[in-house]
Amino acid sequence: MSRLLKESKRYGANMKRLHPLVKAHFDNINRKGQIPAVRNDLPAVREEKQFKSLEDWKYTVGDKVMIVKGALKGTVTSIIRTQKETNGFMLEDGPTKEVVIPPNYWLQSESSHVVEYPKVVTSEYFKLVGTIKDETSGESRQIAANDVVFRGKYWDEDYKKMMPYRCIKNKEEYIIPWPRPDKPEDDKFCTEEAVALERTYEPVSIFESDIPSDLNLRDPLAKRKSRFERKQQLLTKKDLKLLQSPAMPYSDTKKAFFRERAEIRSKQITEMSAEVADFIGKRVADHLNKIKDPYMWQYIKKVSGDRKKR
Amino acid sequence: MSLTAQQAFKKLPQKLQNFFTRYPPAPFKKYASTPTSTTADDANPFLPNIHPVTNKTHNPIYSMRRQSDLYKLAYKFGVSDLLPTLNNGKMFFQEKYDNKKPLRGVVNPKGHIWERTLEARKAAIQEAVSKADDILVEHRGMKYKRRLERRKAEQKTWV
Repeated sequence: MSRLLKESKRYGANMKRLHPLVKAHFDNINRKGQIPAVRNDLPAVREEKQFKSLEDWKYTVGDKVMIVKGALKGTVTSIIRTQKETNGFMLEDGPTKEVVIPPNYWLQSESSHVVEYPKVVTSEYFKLVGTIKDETSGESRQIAANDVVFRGKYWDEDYKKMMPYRCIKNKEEYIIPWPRPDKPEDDKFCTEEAVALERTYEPVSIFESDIPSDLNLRDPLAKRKSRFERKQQLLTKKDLKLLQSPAMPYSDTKKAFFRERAEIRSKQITEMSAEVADFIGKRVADHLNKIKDPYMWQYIKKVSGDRKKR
Repeated sequence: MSLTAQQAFKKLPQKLQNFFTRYPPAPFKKYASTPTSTTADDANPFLPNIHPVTNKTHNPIYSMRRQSDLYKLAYKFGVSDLLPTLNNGKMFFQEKYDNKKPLRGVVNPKGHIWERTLEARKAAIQEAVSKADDILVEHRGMKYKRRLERRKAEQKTWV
């Protein structure tokens, strides 16, 4: 089965195609079958409404936040995880729930089936915390942003991509930087960054290539030709034979038919003699000179041979 | 304005001029009135002729529709009699009307069912009336027969 066919879910139930009410019914059945620990705290978001870009999320893992709701109001903590399906966040010291998990899901350190599990919260549950430095006194203090906006972009060396500047809404002079991501640890088989980025080839001209045209990088003993080579194949004798229509000899019957046709054509009269024309002309003149009806004359003028064509 | 022969010939539609060029009319060339060999000199282009070698009937060179077109055009210019014999004895205009085969229903109307059975019913009634006394005697017996005879005998012969 091709990848596209698999994705199209041609054969089998496609939940995306179901009516929202029917989908909700199936989701309900699914939820009942799940253990409570795995159930989402927030309602699932449709795929098209799910956050994708950084600008959608606004906050990312590692951001310092202050809880503004519930019993933990005022706690400053950080985001440890984001949940794509619900557009939700998990906080390090955020709200938790007691869930019962079966023994086969237990970790090594656990001894009880009741576990404290972080609750997923929406972005309304907290505010982003940034640090500003007072230039005169040199003291730094933390501020919480009601909302953030994005102004401009810069190259972030740690993320290795263009990142938007995150400013506090209505106070855009304050920029809250993105948290530093965890540095990826190199494996022992990894190529070093400096080696990977080293430039070993520089083209001299964009019109002429330094690479020889007859250079073949393929294994000369390979069974099949590459598809590029196959395209450049020349016509073989067999191909030519197939492409040319066969020159079949005419049968005797056909030849006789041609001869007869030529004979008939040679006999055909192609020009009218003056005698015949005069004979017919007299007959026509006798007839036409008797016609008095103006409508008949109108018709004759329309169909006559000497009528001027437009 | 009277037309000369040359002027009149030019008035002839191109379709007819072409036809008469290829098939000159009667005094210059004759055409068979029945199907002949396709290679014959007098082969009629309006008739289905037979090929001498294959013995197969070829379609006429001019189809029935084209024959009709030519005839109707030639009729308007007074040269319809110069065309070869048409296929299937095809006729047009007054000739066609005069030779029209009358409808069978018009010649011998079928009539209503009462019209068709009238004579027979009349005959049957006549026969029954003439035999009325015999039938009555058959059903009512000898007593009735004798009564009839007595009535006949006692009939007044004077007024």
